[in-house]
Amino acid sequence: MSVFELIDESRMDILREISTVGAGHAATALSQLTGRRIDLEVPRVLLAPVQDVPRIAGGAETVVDGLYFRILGDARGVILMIFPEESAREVVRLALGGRRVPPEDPLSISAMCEIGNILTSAFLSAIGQLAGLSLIPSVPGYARDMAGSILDPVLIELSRLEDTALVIETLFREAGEGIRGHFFLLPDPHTLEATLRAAERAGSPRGGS
Amino acid sequence: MSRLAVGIADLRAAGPGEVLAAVGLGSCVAVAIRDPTRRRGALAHIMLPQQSEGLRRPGENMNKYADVAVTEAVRSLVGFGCRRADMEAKIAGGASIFDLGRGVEGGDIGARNVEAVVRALAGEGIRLLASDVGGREGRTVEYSVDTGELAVRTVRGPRRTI
Repeated sequence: MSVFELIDESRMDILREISTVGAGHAATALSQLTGRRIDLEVPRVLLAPVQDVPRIAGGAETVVDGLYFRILGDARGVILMIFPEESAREVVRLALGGRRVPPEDPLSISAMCEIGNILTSAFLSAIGQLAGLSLIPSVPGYARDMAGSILDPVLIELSRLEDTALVIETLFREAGEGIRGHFFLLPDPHTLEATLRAAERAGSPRGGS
Repeated sequence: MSRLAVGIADLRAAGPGEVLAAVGLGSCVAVAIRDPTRRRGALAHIMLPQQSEGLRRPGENMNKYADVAVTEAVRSLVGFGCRRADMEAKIAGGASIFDLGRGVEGGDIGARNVEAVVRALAGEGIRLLASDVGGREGRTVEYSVDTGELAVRTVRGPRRTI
């Protein structure tokens, strides 16, 4: 099954709606965690050649903090969160109550993982509720490295099945521009179908109770 | 001197005075091959070990597979008049960026990519001169067709040339 066979315009809309709700919950969680108002842009849902994904993420050589989660439960897929370096330091500083720690400090790494856990759980529980699926994030993998290498495990996994990636991308932004983050959801094409079916059965999220 | 970018799953050939670059290699592997006498070289940026792992869909980009890309690189160099017996190779990449834990599917992909590249080069009878592989860090590489030097950069580690 190819993603092209699965995705038409109306299904793109469903994905956009589901993601908007999920990202809204995640943004709220991040606001509460940092004590700052975090806005989010309406998520982009795009089909892109695997080779183009590093550029979408801000360039293959840009140094970023990356968190990698597998989706467990009723669907499979991968979530990758990418924070540009300065944003990552700022999120960690706010989460630690104003304390500055170097990025390689275990305290910083554990704070990043915790932030990732909270955002991913908020996102997945919201879309799981809409789609009637139980979705649980795995323990995160963390790395601070070039965006290209952070994306590698995800793109490699996808490219076993596809040369095209379905990317659901959300940009978080603090009003003061101190924090920016990319949230990439890359569903496995086999389970994308199951998720869409469940969402279609559950009805449009906009009209749902 | 012109720098040609080789994206993920891409393969490019270059001539005298040119430099081939692959940016942000994680578990992917850059395979650099050249014929020093004829000053022609090629760089492949592979993602997966072998084509048998894929779905073999029509129109699939086959250069993402180590076995296909190495054969293609050699063939394109032969097309430029290079001699197989004169060709030499260097490789870099194959890191494990995230600690995904033992037994996790895909956790050892970097090491498997490196093995596949080494095997494919041996199968083509190409000498492997040097390698900079494994570890936990991403790499950016630049390959000079003229000198055969493969410069490797990482975020934290020292810059080196193999």
